Amino acid sequence: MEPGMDFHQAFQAIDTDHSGEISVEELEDYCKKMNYKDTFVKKWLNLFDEDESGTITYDEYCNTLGLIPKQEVVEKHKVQQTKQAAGGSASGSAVSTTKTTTKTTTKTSVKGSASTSKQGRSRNEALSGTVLMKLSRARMFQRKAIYRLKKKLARSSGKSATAASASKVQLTEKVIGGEKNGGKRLVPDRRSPRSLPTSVPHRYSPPRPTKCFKDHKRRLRASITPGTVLILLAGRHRGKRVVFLRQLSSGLLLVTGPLKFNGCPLRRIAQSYVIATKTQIDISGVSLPERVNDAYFRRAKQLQAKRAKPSSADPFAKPQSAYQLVDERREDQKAVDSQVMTAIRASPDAKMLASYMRSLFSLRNGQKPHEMVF
Amino acid sequence: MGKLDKFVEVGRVAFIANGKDSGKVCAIAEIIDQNRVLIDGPCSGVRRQVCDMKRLHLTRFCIDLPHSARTAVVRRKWTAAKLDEKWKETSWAKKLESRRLRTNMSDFDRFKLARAKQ
Repeated sequence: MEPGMDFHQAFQAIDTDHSGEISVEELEDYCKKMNYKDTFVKKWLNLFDEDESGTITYDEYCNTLGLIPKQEVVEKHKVQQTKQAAGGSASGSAVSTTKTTTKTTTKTSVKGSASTSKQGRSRNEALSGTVLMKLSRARMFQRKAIYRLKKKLARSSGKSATAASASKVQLTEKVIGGEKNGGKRLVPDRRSPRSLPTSVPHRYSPPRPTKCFKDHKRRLRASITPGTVLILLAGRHRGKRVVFLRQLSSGLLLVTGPLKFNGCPLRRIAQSYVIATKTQIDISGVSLPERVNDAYFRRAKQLQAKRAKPSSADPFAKPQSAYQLVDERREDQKAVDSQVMTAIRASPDAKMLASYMRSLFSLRNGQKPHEMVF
Repeated sequence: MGKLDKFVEVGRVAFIANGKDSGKVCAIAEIIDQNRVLIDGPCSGVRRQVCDMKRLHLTRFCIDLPHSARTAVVRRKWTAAKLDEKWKETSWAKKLESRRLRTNMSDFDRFKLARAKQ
């Protein structure tokens, strides 16, 4: 801008055809004329072009700078536009008339005429390789001209109350009775809070999304592989040596006695209640029934039955035994055990292994589990 | 007080009691001072190194070594004396071996042993 030139004059200097709006070409011409940097065009469009039409109207210009449009300038524009309209020029001018004549500008009509290159462009960008954005919040506020947006919305909708003013406290005059009270008082419609926090409490974002149990990673000790002989340490089958079949989707281990050897059926057990021995049985040929899974072993049904009876007549009556042996259990036990026992018989030292599976584990005097190899 | 028949001398076969090479036998190649010797056990996987006498337990074996004999010489003399077999036959070595086997017994092995003892 030349010194001594006011903003209105500046607009007119750039808007060479006095159409009432500065187009990109006019900006570029002016930029070259004044030997400004190339960013001048972008900056101006960013600053002034609120509706992203690709042109800066006199209205937008005045809006941004907080000026009242000069009547003579507006008249000048009108004259120019009518000339253009009469001359039968492009639809752009027709749109421009609507722009200058009406204060309310609809985005759709403007956008239809202007270049759509501005649509969807992001004013901010992430720094490469990081999640950080190039421009700060304050800078983005400036860029998006949110300070103007509020005003614009207020004007276009014709409402006097903007979000800011809506939050403003309204004072009402209230008459108070009694003598020497001042008679009336200004009362705010909303009370100020009893206390205000001295600082904004820091809300810690959850460190990382916590997974629900079914999505947990199931781990298995390297010492436990299908066919490993395990020593059960807890439960009604503690001390028994059982064969590990596979890990179920819940993470629990599926084991079998076999039933004939030690009375332990097809069962689930957690690996923390188990010692894995070095003894392996080759169960590669063993195929487990598909229905044997976590749902197969669930006890939910029995629990529901218990809940159905809230209070029994006799509090000392023993609860009915929940577990009922089902035929499918027998079938699966037989199917699996027959295969496992064949595998045991096929292994070297079969006789010893069989009697080993039958026996119970216990610690003797002088035995230190932390020094023992299992 | 035992028999004073095991001397610290060049060629004495010693058992290393602790450290990285614990459990191995080696030969004394050189005596450095009151407390330290140079040992070498090429046939038992002991590198030629300085060793404190406190770590060594002397065996009753001795090979005919010139002092500061290099490793190749030690190896030659060792194999000629058939020290590996001689060492294995000693009750000392046998005891060590049985102890090692006992600690490495698996649960099944212990079961079999218990059964065998019955």
